[in-house]
Amino acid sequence: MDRRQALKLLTLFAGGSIALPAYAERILHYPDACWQTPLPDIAPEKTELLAALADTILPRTDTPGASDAGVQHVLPVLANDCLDTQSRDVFWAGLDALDANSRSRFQTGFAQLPPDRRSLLLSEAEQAFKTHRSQPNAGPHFFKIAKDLTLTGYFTSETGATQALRYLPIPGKWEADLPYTAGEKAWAL
Amino acid sequence: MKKHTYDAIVIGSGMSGGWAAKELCEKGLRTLVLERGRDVRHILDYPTALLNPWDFPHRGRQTRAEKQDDPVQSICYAYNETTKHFFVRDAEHPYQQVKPFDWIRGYQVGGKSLLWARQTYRWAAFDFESNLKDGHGADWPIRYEDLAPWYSYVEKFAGISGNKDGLPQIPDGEFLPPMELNAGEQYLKKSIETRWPERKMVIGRCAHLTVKHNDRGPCQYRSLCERGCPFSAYFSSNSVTLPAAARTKKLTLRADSIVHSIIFDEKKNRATGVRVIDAGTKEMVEYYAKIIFVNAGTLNSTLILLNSTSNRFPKGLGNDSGVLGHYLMDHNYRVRANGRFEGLGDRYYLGRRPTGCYVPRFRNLWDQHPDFVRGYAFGGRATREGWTRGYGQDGFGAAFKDQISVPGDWNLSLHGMGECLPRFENQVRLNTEKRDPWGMPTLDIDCAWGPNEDAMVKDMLQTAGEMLEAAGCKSIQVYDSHEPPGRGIHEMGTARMGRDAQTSMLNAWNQLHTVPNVFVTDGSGMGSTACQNPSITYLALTARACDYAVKELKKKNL
Repeated sequence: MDRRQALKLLTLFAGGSIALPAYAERILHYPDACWQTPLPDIAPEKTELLAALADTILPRTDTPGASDAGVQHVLPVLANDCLDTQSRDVFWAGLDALDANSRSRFQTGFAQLPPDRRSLLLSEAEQAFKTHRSQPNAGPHFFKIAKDLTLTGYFTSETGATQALRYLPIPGKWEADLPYTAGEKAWAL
Repeated sequence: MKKHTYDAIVIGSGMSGGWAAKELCEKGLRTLVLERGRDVRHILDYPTALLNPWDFPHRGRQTRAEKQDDPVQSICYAYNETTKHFFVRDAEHPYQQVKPFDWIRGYQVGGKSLLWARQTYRWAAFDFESNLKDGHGADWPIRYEDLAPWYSYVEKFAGISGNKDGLPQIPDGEFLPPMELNAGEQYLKKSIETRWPERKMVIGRCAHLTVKHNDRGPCQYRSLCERGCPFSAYFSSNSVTLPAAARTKKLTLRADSIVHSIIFDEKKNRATGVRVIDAGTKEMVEYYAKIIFVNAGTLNSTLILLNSTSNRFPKGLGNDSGVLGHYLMDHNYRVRANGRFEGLGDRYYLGRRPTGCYVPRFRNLWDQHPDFVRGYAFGGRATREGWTRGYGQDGFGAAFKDQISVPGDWNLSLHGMGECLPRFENQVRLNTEKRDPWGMPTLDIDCAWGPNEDAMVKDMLQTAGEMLEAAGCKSIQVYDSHEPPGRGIHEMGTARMGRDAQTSMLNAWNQLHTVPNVFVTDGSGMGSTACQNPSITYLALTARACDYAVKELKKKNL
């Protein structure tokens, strides 16, 4: 994200009601630091599979879908770095199992399936999850992990936050009680 | 020697140290502030302040490595990818948990004033009297009237937004305009106050600027406060007191300076200076001054005093009574409650208000609960659920996506904040066997909740649940997290104020009873906790002690 753009956006959103302190400009030049980590090396076919999975969970509607927001690229980062090791392994194994299931049932990979068949396989995965979670001491489950990570990846992406939701980086005011009309998007933050 | 001599030394640059620096500098004293951590310059060193969620590789989430590397700090609600640079690394700063105790710390210029939750409530008159009344702890050597003008003094400079609610349990102060309750909170307030007239709900009082104040702010309602505020709209040492101190040209701020101990001169019966370990070179240097303010943060202030031994004070500076290290307390934040409210679907809000609402103490004010003494307050908030509710819902696909992209029901939540009794057995001890990477002794922390806290939790669970129930909430969850002390990050006591040197460390002016040129004005001096967030009280005590110290210095009594 270009911070100069961000600052411009800020002043726009604040409706020009605030003058950014002169020193704020200096922040722009603060060196990008510790939180820049390299992306994991993921094979293109796996990225395609992740995109298909994410798009099945959050497809394109009148707002962009998960892969439009690049969720397939953040999923491996979140899965590898943020999950506990057991959940991480369940996720990657589950992804392979989903693809294998597709190949044995439909003779083609999950990514190559039409949307209704992807939904069918994922519905079965959700059913399995519902059975799984009612067991005592149920551990992590592929469907739940995949869904949670996709939601996180999508709604915190620039595309998801600004198009599927309403994103105000600097609201500039607190309006405590406003009328709400059905259909208006939720705030991203 | 001359180069290392100042009028005053302040140990620590956090909440209370920053204020001490401002007062002493403004009164004309050449003041050296020693900060053990790195420098954090206002705004320049807030690298994440303007970043969007998608600018972070983990979108702000904690990583597994962070949980492993910082098992204690990462428990804190404010610790994540966007803020972790303001927390210590656990491995570098060891301590021993004799019983579970989460010690959350931010070692840098500004300390935890960058990270605090910014809630600011005065203590009530009865809070200063409760120790005397029920016999737990030592009687406070001051009363509300002693501190009231100093509350006003610090509120005016810091900038506190709030409403004058006219409630004796949280006396009104000098307030900037309050923020407003949203529709869900107005509804909850009405519901609570109708059913229980003695219970009130008010807007949170907080160190946020609702209007421009002393060339700072106003708040932009981003609620990303813990990253540091580029609008200077909340109170921190970095944004308010240290700049004020620097403007006098009397301030010398030395970061990366770990205070080892205070130097005591037996002949003069005065402290003459401090020994400092340079965090980079590990060399020991000495600095000298006429007065010393100890503001290292509750447990570190006590660690320094315990480590300042001499023939006269073999158990730690000023510790004739033996109470140094004892009577450790923390607020009890174990109880959380939330519920879903299905009405008010046609109301929403704009902006992210950086405070919640507040149910001031209502127990043991007019009558006495059979099971516990003292009392508790609730913090609260109403929000309309956003996309994150999707985590807990079944389903996926187009309809699911569209449904979680619009606001859901209201979520009403309350969290209990309970007073903790001072008990001798809750304590810290110096461990000279286990040392930190700079060779400093570490602390054994031996602290646990007692029966009064547990009884209070039981009542909180009951009252929180019944308030959400009366409001017509569905899917109500009320629970005791059983979290250990420390998690409230309001550690108090261990060098308490009191009326005499036999039972306390500090007198009515936060001055060591037995070493008159040493003042301790952070949380360590607290003789009880009340249930209010403590920082504003530390600030008032600090300003008052500085005023006294400088007057005494001029009278040549120090």
